[in-house]
Amino acid sequence: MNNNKWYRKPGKQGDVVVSTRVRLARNFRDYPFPGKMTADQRDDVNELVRKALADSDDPLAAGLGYSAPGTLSTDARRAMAERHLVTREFAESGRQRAMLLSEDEAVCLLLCDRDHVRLQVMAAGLAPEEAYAVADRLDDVIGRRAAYAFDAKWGYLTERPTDLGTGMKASVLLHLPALEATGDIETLAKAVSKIGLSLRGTFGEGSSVSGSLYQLSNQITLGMDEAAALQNLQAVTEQVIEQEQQARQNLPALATEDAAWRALGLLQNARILPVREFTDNLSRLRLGVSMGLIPSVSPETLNALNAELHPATLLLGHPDADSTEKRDVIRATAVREQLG
Amino acid sequence: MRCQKCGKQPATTRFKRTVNGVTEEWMLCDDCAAAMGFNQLSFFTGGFLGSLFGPDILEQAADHAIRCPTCGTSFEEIARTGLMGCADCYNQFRHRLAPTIEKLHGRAEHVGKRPAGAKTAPAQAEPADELAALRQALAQAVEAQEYERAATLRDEIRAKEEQNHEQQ
Ligand SMILES: [Zn+2]
Ligand SMILES: [Zn+2]
Repeated sequence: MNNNKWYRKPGKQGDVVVSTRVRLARNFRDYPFPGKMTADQRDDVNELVRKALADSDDPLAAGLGYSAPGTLSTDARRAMAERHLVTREFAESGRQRAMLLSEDEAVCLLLCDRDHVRLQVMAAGLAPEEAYAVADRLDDVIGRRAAYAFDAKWGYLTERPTDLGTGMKASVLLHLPALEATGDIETLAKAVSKIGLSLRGTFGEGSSVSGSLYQLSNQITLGMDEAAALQNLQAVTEQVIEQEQQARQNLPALATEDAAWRALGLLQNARILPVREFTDNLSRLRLGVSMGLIPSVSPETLNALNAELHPATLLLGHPDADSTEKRDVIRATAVREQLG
Repeated sequence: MRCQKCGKQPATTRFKRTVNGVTEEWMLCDDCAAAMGFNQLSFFTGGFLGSLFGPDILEQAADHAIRCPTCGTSFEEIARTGLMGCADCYNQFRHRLAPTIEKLHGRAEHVGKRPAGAKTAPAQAEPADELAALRQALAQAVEAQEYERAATLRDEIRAKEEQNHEQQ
């Protein structure tokens, strides 16, 4: 299933960097911000953006699929949150919003929620400049149709003053099992915060970091241009990769290899696979695959498993999977199929 | 109404605090509010961070509420929610927002992408725009009887006017 999705493509530095995401916040000058919009104004802006993209010569813009407000179920939105297309907060909020999505799910636009347009581009591996180039292009397509709210001093005007300036948030999702094991994450988080970045764990259902996955993102939007912010993110990511790789070399080799093979064995054989057990073992297996210990499994397969087998996404493909127990069985089956 | 603390200056803000279930409420002047550590700035930032200041609320006194002419949002509402009403709110409340934005982003000005329509015009147009914004802020300050702010703004306007004169 879903063989054309962006996360099934190989990415640069895929041994540590799972994915890159760039998001732009934009508003139109002639409409109030979403919190103050009337239903008619929302309709106008939704239509304005939809048409601007649909009428474009750019095949990517024209090919985006539009879903009108209210057409996506809570489950569908939860599934999108699992795949980092929208925030968890949005998925749970019940707010009905228009969205545009590319077939490979690399491009997602959320309209009239926080800001008139939240344009997001995802890419496999480390690719901040590539992802931004796509966002920039689509931004121009929309910006040609209607005037954006912009201030010479404060840049793109946003509903929250925190996003002023470029309105750009760029982030990378990192797999950092070795730095987590050595207890160096906190030191690293402090260090990057001093240079305008933030490092945070991603959380699944519990309160512990899910599958050793961490999000590194830029915090500065005003006073630093897009190119500098992206370069900063790229450079710091490269340093984190180097540290993670060094820490991996210092891990007890046999124990790491053993854990990776055990994880593969468990994933290939389980008949019931709860989400926590799944993410933990996927992380151990990913580490083994990244270190070249398990040549039969590709990182793209792991990314696909991670993207597609969380509860809400699973539910979309299997409407009958209406209980945790049923989903754990379906997850186990899907994992067995994909890992051969 | 006079400030309930000093009894001298006009009260501009309503200050409310709940401690251990007991709610106190005062009408204060800007100076007294600031002296008590509850200036608008900290509350504004508190709005973003949610619970930084717990249940404390600071409101602009109703009769002094200034609203954005485009969308009708008052500064009090912006301070409370952390949300701007529309793009014009940034202009309307420019001088009140500036310290908070500086606190969030540092003393920075936008660099980087501009919308196709915006081009690079502001370099020329900005001084006039800024003067207009200052004059508007002055008018508001006078209307709101915020005399100290008004005095500061008046000095700023004079300095700007002289500066423009020298440049021409
Ligand atoms: Zn007083
Ligand atoms: Zn407004």
